[in-house]
Amino acid sequence: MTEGSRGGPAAWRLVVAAWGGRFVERFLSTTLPSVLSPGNVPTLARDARAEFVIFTETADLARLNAHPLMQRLGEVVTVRTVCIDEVGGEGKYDRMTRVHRMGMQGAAEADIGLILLTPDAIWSDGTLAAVRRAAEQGYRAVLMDGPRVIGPAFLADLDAYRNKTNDVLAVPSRDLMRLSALHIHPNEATWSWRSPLIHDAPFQLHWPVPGEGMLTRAFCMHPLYVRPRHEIGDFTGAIDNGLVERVVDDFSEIYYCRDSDEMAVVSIDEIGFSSASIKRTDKRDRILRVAKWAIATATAQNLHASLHPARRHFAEITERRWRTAERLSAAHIDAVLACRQLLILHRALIGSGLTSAAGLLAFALHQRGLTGRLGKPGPRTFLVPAEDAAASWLQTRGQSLLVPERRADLLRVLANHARAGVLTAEQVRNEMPGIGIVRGDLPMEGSLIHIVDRVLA
Amino acid sequence: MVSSPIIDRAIADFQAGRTAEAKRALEGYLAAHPADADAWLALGLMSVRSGGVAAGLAALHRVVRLRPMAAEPYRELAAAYRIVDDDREADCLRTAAALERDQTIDIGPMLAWLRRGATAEAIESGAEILRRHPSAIRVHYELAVAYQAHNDYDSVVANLGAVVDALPACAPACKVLGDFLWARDRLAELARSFSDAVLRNGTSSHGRASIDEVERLYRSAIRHDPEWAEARTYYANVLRASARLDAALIHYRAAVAQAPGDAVAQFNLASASAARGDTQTAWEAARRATELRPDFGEAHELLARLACAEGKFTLALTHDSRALSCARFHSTEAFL
Repeated sequence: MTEGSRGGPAAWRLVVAAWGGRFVERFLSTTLPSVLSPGNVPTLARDARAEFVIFTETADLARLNAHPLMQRLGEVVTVRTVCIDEVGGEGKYDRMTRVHRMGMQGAAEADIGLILLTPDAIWSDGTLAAVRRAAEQGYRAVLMDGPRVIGPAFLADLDAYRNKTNDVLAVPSRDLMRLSALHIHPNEATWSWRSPLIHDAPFQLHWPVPGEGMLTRAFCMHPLYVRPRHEIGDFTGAIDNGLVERVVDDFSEIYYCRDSDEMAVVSIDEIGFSSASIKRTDKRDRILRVAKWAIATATAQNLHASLHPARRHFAEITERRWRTAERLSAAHIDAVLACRQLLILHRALIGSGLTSAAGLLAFALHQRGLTGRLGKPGPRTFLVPAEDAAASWLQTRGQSLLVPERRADLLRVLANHARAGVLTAEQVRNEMPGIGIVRGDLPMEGSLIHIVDRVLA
Repeated sequence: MVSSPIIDRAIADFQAGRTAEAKRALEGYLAAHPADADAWLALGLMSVRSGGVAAGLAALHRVVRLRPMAAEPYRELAAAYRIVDDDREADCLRTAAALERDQTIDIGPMLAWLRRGATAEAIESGAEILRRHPSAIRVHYELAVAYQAHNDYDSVVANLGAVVDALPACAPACKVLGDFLWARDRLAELARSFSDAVLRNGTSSHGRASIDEVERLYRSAIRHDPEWAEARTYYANVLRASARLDAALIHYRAAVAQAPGDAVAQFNLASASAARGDTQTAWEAARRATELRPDFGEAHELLARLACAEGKFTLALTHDSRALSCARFHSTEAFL
């Protein structure tokens, strides 16, 4: 976090897109009442310039404007509605991206801190106050996320927190987390590390702490607050995948919420939301699947985010139990990220025609439990046998190591070909004088690959 | 019936007594246009009237799959079943009669909203029609379609349930209701167990899965459309998920026989056969799956495991490497 960015933004802009009867209803009954709680918009806007911008359609305007809470909102901040009837898009998500771009226009030039809300979420009382504190400490982005819940039953329980006089929802964070656990969306269950099923987009992972809550490590989190330095007019894609990199100069400017007592949110979804594919899995398979997903989808910031666990709890923390969960989850994430490195290596080997080495790596990952022996991710030196050397070895001495009984020996041989840290070809020659390097210093995401003339058995 | 020159010519040939020629023309056309309900209907009628009742029934089943809310195919199915004294005739007659009565209800406004992709408006329109005509079957069907876009499984299930009750011979409604019921209840079960794990002493709001109704629906779908490979695949998946592997294998084999070009059907057969210890069938079916879909990662993984178990390690390495290179295949039909 740079010294020059300390102190909050010159002004605030809260942005929400809500169109169509269903989402407008949800916005009016959940999001708006919760952000009007004392520790949210009223605190954010105190002694500050703030506007609340609602992107909607003409057909929904009358309903919005007639709602009593909109008047209440207008007493707290300047409210502006923008009609988006003419805004197109290839589907609703693309349209949402265009609307978000509109919401972010001019923010950099005027040093506006953007609060990006969603129309179907409940924010705990005090969340936006916490965002303001983080912004005033100089952070340029606040990332957080929360559990998804099934709507109808959750909303019925939520009503207990509704102020009978003004309809505002002031939900303490622990109560919100307890309600979310009661009405948890099935997708959240598939993201549990112990679940026998896995979702085809495992962008976050949970480790339950029974009776207290769950620890979460997320690759993709919602950017609740961004303070851009430059205009982001050409941003495409979902805001939880690629926006933050455009806002911050380095990741130290990102504030990751670590405890739901500080900031908490719950999103409301129907049971069928994103249920396209849920498959059986086991621990080995889960590591591989998450690693594969991460290669295809996760940005550098997403990978960084996964290193920051969040405690989502409805009870008092038993520190010892949560530290255990954090250690365990860290080991699992390390395995995923290390596996991801190996998948990238595999891809590089295939691309270079080193099919025997690639096959051996894949075999060890799928069949011989290499996923359980990966260690910490990080820059490495990979010594890869040339194709003729690897093929010859596999047909002779190597064959005997492929049987299940020689699993430990096989993994030991593979371990000989990877060193922690980066060694140049020259350094390898100095350290291992007998090894011939066929091609050296091939870069691979912070690591180096050297093709060597033999299998290091 | 929409007219097409090829269908018209085939009908003319049939009427002139050139049955074989007429059927060949339609079969050739349908190979390239398998979603043409009119062509299937023509083929079905020709087959039945020329004594090929089994082939005629199969063709008429295809029409139902494509146009589940049209009364005519059920009438023709009933006529065909009558010829062979099959008790499915009664269900088809009941279904046809219900749909014919339903045709008098104007659902045009709702359909117009759906064509525009305005599902919320379609739902409102449908609700309005139901207030006047509570048993409007096609409205229930279209509401189920609309609610899918909203991921509202409860409403999908409720509306499809009304369709299934009114149209016992509608295999698509039975099958799709089975799909949603199974998905909904399986998801709820998943959420419940996770909720209980987090709360420890609490009780979540989710219900428990009910498999009997799901099986009844799939059996009904297969009864009324025995050639439907996809219905068999989904049914077999449910059987397998409830540890009835042998029963699942029967339907996986049937699905593959009915749709040998379906990579997922081949893979499911392979996977189930491997679980049963029938490695030869597993190998052939998995290999076929990768021939049909070279990027079918899970099939390559299975081939690698089978090769490994037989000590064919070089082959295992090759398939493991292919599996690692392929993206996961996220078909809901694949049992994984």
